[in-house]
Amino acid sequence: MSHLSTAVVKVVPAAADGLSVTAGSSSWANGAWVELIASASANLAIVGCVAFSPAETGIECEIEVGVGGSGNEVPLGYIRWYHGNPGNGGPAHLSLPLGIGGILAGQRVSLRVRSAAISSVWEVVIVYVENPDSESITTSQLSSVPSAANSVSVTPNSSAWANSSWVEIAAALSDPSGIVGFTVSPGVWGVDYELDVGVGAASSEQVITTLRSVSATTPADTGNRRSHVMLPAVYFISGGRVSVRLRKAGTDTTDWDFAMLKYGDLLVTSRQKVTQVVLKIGRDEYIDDDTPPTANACTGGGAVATGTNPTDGTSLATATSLHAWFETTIGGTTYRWSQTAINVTTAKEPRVHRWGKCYRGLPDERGGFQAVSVDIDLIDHDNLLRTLHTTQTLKGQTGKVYIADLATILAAGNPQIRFSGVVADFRPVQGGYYQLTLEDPLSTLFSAEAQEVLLPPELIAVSDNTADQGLRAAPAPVIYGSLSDEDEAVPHGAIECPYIGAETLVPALGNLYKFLVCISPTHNVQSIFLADPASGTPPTRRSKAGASLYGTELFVPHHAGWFLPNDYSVTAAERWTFFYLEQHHPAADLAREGRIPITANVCGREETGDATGDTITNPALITLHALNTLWARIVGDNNWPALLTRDSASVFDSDAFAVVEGICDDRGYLWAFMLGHSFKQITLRDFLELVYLCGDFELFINRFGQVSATMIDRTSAYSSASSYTAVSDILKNSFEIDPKSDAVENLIRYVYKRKYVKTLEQPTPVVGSRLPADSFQEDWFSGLQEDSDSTSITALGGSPKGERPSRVLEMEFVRDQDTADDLAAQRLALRKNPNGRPEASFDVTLMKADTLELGAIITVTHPQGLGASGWVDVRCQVRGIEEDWNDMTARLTVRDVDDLLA
Amino acid sequence: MSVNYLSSPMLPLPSAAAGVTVTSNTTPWADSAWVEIDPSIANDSLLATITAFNDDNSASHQFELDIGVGGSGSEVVVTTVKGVSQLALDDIGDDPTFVLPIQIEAFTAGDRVSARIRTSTAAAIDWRVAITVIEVPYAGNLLTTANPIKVTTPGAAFVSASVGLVGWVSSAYQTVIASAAADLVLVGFAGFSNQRWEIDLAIGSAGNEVVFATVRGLSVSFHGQVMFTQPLDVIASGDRVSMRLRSSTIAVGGHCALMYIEKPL
Repeated sequence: MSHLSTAVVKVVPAAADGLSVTAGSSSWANGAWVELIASASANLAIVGCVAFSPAETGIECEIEVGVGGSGNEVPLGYIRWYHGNPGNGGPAHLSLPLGIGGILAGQRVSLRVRSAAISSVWEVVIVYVENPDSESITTSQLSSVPSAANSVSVTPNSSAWANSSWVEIAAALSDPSGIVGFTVSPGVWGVDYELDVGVGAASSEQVITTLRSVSATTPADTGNRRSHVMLPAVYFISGGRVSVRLRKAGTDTTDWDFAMLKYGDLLVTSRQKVTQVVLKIGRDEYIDDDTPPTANACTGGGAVATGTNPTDGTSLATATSLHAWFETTIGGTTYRWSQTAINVTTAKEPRVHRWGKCYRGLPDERGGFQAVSVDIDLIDHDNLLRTLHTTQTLKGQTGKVYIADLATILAAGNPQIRFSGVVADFRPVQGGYYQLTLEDPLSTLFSAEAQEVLLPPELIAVSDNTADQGLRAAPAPVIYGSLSDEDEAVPHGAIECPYIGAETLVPALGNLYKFLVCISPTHNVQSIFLADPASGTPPTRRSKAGASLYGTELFVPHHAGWFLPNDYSVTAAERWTFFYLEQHHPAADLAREGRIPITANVCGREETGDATGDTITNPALITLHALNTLWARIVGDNNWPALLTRDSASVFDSDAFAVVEGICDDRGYLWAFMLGHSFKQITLRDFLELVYLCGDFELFINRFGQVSATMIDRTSAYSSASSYTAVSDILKNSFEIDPKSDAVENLIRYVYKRKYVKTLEQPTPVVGSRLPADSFQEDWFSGLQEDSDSTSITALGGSPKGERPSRVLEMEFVRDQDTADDLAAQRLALRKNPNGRPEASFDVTLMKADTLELGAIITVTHPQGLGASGWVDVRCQVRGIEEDWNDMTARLTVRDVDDLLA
Repeated sequence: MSVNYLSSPMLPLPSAAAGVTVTSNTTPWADSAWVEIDPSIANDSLLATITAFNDDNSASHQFELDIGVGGSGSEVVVTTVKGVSQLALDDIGDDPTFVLPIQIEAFTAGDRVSARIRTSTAAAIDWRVAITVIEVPYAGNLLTTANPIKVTTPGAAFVSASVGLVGWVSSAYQTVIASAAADLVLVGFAGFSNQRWEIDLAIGSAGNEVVFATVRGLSVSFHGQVMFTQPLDVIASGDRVSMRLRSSTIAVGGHCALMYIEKPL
């Protein structure tokens, strides 16, 4: 059989007016069945329809075909019709892309009509073939969406060729379904138009196809009989929500109406035939004979959502009388507690006995993230706190500490937020006080003993019972950047893609083995590497899949033959990147059994979340994106979400991340990694340490309680840095300095470009081959790299005595050599000084600290600084700020970075 | 093989813009100039639909539309469709889109795509022309061919038949193809008549015609085309193909042309 037909095309009624069929007497109610064929002369298939309503204008209907005796008609399907006008001319004949089969010789065939036009009369002729021999005949039900209801209305954009809004036409089609076309009731005739068909949730619609025509009739004109816009073949989709949007010539905004003609549970009758074809594809045609498709580049860069930061408040720089208060809102009641009563504007109760110190800092030497925690001792003179403690309503609330000058308070101005956090603990303590502990939102996830937050968070729950890898509950890997070896002379694939299970997603394609790339969509799956049967029996190596394999036996997102509407799959309400291999392909079982796992080159997470954006490669953007999507937000089957907010402000200081992004760009830093490789999770704390190690930038909590980032721009002179000078700024007897002479590293040892693909076991090792000596040699393509400073080594006693080697830095997020080498060079510059890199601490008034933030570069002048004249305008990086709101001072910890800057 | 289905998008050319304007020659059935639709098509592509439309409401126009590839002055026809547009006041549109039941392997990446038209009328009429394509490789199962669609009575009017004074009585047969040059797959029919009518298509010598398809028109003045979504594989090399008309009204004419592809596909 083929698509072609040799059967005679006939019409019924023949040589007579069409069959008169009357719609029901209420809107969209079925009319009575009317006999079309008393007894079919042979097996029949309906291939077309000709219909109009002689007396009506601009109405639509559904013509239902049924078989069986009077009163026992069995419906075979509906043909949706839009009828413009019974006036002059126009096409009246609709050819169905798939004929409606299943009418057997001897059966009675009847029609009935339903329409919004009550009791409207329709004249119908059916086009059919006897003994159909085309395979484009189905017994699947043809129907319309909406069904038994008016078409959906789409309001055109008032600008020519601009898209209308998406309008849902089907909330959830069954899987699979086949779209064949639409009825069209245009708002204006004679205009070119395009109709996009989209799938996906509201606001995340993805265009799967576009139909194009010119409007040929409207209800108002005396135009043509019918109005359909049809597809050249059934468009297969795997069910779900379907929407349409319109763009057209002209600015008319009269509504257009559309209804969809579709088959449900399609292709069922063709499965056996299709399977036979799949099996007959030549087994001798192996991948070496076939040129692989061109690997599309990992277009890098990308963008990440930005957020709104809190307002800064009135500067404290010229304040004369500072006041602090804690503020939280519980159940609509806002509590404001201070040390002394403030009874102007919004009153603050005198409930604070003592403020604990608020220390915020940049990461420690290993990159360990510095949590922020503030204890506040409160007076419970009226049992309010006891009540709040009993009901536990305070814990978990967002709380802020505000500070303002009295003048600002009296003027009802904006106070400064000095810290914003979450009430992590609230308990009675000695002295009859209650102690409230405020923590930053990130640190509430850390715990000294309990299991910390693990990344990546999603676990594989998609295996079926045939999964050999036992991957259930293993973490679903997350990929960022370009995991690809396409630029190498002989690429082998950068990651392994485990077998997940077997599925029959598209009946026509038979049973397919399913392989996991990662969770979430990707920018691209560049190439696939399969066991190559030509390499021996059993095979000993992989080869890149050839072009002809795609769409015939190998089905990969972003490649020819991918059968889903988007370049990702949706499973368990999450977006994943899977690919499929026909189960009888020689490489399929080798991969399933783990003997020769399939590998791939992949461009990882992209900027939009629907597989259409650029790969995110900038370290700052990846960090922000990963924290927002892996820690802060549940993403689900959606595009990437906006940054998480708390109290209407972003949890992340996206402005600070943007600054770091720019410096990373200037340095040419690229990240590429798989989080969850080897199906192991890492803690959030370890992730943050890796950010410091692999990005040379530091994460911290700013005074708004946001996760922020800072990075020294070593090309800048920071000429406008604020100055902090003894006597005038630095409080008396507060200056202390630590040379940090024991924190020297003058030999940086590092590895990068993790090896995610295991070497295939060979039956006989190559003669003379050596076993790996160190773990990093087998896990890292880079091998051990070193960068040293001979001046420093000489100053400390020469090699090897004077060498101060770093630990082997495993640059987990880095595959790019330039990035890795520069990271090592930056670290060496920071730590090579043989006398160490001094850090000083000193006190300033809170007015002087004002809006100073961690990571800022300031100049410090103090006689107790190192050197012959002490420190004179030495440029330092602020690494710690400890605020004391009892006496309104801040203790700054700064590091001398003068020699690192321009 | 399985049913024809598709899971790849159709892409309009031009996209998000009115169709290109092709102005017919003032000499009947003479070619217009070629008009570029796309200077360089992005990928190898199948031709899936063709839309042709005019705003003229003063006359009916039979037309043949060529789609071609190649540089300016070197265009090669890759397919031709034949149709008719309506004349009366608001009946401008008819069915302006030919949905090809066999997709034509028409375009190679980089091809310049253009269109030209010839019509039955001696007037310079502006036609808006657009196509949709399916990029290759595609996801799905389509019957495709590199052969062009051709039309009957090329560069000439439709074949006509007339009925007498009794309703629903068939006219005499009129020859559409005297002798098929090859085995043919019939993909479409274009025609028009008046009121309710049927046109039989038949194979066989004069007096021995055997009907293989009946096309039904149901309108005051049907103008348009019927694409055979299950293309008819019934015409052998050397066959004579003819048509005849029946109508609910009397003393009217019926007119038709056929669109076909030569085998092997």
